[in-house]
Amino acid sequence: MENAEGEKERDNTRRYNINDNHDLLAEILARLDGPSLAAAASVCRLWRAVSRRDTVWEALCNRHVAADFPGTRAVVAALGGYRRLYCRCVGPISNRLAVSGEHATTAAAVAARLSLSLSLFSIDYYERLGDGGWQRPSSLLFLRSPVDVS
Amino acid sequence: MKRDHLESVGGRGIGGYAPAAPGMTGTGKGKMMGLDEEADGGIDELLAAFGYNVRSSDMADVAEKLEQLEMAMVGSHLASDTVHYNPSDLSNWLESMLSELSAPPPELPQAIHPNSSRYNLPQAPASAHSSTAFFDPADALTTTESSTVTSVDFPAQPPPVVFPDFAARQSGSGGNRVVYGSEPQIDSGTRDRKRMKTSSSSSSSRGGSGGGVIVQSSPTIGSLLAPASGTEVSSALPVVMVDTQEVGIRLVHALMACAEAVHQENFKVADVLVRQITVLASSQGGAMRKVAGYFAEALARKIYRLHPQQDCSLDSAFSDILQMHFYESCPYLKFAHFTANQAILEAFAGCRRVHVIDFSMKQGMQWPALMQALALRPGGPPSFRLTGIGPPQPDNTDALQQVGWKLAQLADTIHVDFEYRGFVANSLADLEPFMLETLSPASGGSAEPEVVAINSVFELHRLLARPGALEKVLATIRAVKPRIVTVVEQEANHNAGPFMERFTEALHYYSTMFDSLEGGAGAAGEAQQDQLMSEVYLGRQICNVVACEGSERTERHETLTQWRTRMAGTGFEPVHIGSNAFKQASMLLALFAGGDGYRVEEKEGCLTLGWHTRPLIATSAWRVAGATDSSSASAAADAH
Repeated sequence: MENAEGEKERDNTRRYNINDNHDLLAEILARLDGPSLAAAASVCRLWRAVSRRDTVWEALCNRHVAADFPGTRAVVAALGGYRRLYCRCVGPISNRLAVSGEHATTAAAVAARLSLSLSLFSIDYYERLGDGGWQRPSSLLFLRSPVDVS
Repeated sequence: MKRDHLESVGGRGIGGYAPAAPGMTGTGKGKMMGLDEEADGGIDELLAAFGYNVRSSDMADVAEKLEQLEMAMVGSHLASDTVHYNPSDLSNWLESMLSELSAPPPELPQAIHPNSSRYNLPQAPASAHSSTAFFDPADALTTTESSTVTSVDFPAQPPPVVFPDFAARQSGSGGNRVVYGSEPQIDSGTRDRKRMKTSSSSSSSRGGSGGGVIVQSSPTIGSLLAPASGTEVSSALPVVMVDTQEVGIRLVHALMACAEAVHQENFKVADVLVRQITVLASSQGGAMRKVAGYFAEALARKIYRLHPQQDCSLDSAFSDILQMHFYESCPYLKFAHFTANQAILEAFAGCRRVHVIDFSMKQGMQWPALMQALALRPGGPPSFRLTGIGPPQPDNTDALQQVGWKLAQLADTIHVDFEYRGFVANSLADLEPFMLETLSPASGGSAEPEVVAINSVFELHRLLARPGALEKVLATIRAVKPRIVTVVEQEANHNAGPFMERFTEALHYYSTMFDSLEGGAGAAGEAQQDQLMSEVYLGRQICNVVACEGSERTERHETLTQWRTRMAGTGFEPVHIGSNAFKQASMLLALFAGGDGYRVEEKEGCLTLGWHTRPLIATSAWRVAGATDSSSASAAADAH
């Protein structure tokens, strides 16, 4: 009797698939770090779609730079979304600051990091507007690691 | 005493020789021996310009003795005992050097300092950059100078041994060792060329031998400008060595001598020197070469009176492009924008209508960040008005309007109420207060008073070229009654009276700037292009500082102290830039690769950004003195 119930339970467990519940998947992915999230996006089409949700990236960004301004989400969304914010600004900034040893986690430091990221993000958005004389938006190039082309 | 002086110089230049050879000058002088008819009180003027006192009448003697010495060198046992090293194989050479050397060099009494120049180069601040880092300048004076004298007492000395780390540093710092074997060199001209050739090969090998040797680029200019850092080590037996650091020092001397000659309108001498500078510069690497090149060009323009060197009609568009590259490749402009924005943001706290007047509109790169910050401030964004002022464009395109349109798009995206107006003006002095003021409430403007901020990045110093212009602009600023005026200027005195002072200051300043560009460069193609264009941008400034006079010389930089005096004297009082700006600036600099050389400092409420110990640009904030009544009036209006 107990065995049969146990078996049924195990059957149910076996038939449960994370891919059935996208929101749960999103919740889980939201706890990953940047590189892992990018790796998760390469798993399958579903995972790619889910991991591109901005909420996932928002959670990731908020772990690096706490967003305490209420209108931040609207502004970030307008400027291109949290995914772009992370890829272009928050990620490289965090990496660079980690390399240079600034591990400050005080509220002031985190707030400074946020405002810096947002400022750079807005400058980048501005550069991409229109054609002008600048074919390539390059104000954030300094955040990229130099590529050895020798 | 003169002879001794020359001997030690000669020893430094060429290595161990029998002390019987008197009056051996550095080989480069050989070129100028033909010009010994500069009868100027009997002393050869060209050499005198380098700090060596040689009579013109002695010059033939000197040349003869040089030849004798060369014959002696060829025939002596030196030739057979010389060991040839291939300077392009640095690591093996280093190994053999280290295994060969045993004891540290003996301490010797201080020799006559051959580097003393009559210009009294201002002691460059001991730049913490690596080539001087191993030596206290005081120690360098004793150890290195004494080791050069060692080489003069040549047969009796054991080969002076070099500290292993010193050797490593030397070879790291550009493959400085150049070996002269037994090749007979008939005239010093060829020796010069040979030296150039081998030194350039060693500097190229430096590029290749990244691995085990200390990665240190060519000796920094800051260290070369300090006379104490004459770090030559020449050993007597069995190898004769020449230092490219010595060439660097000669380069600096040549630059100073040329400037002096130009100042005294001695154009023949200056011409020769300029050519020599170009040759010397080609043997250096990195920042030193570039700076020397730009200064040589500027001096050449001054000599040949090439005015106007910059076609004014193409000027503004081209300089905008250059400034964009400068913006991207190094943090100076970003620092300026971020700190000024922070000051403006704090000044605008609580205001519902704000107006920014930008004297340096260019591409408007400063304002997206401010608009974003205003959008996100607690209490919501104010209505933001921007007035941009720029020079007339050559091809009638309205660059200011295009910038305004882009900013309007951004403002629309982040839901900030935005208004823009562009003003084209040849000079800021053409502005009148009524142009900058807003519609008064009576004629349809909003009832709320506007809070004004004025921003100027690298623009105010141009006004010093015309007398009275700055005073007029400051009066206009006062008339507009701004809440805050942010000023960013270069931290250097390039406006001093005497030309030599200006030249020396500029040499120090731009050397440091170029050093910092070198330090931050990534190897990527785009970054290299950015770096190159930034160097051109700085090169134009150098040209202007050195080669222009009068109203053409618009790059009249002044130090923060001087600006403070000016602003305080015309009715402004300083506003302290808060610690938020400092933190943001520090964080910004931490992001720049190679950014550990940048320093943010706070000086009496103003922020300066510098490279190592030298501040290069300064941000300051001002308000009209005694303006507290206007701010309280607006606060009262808000309350109603």
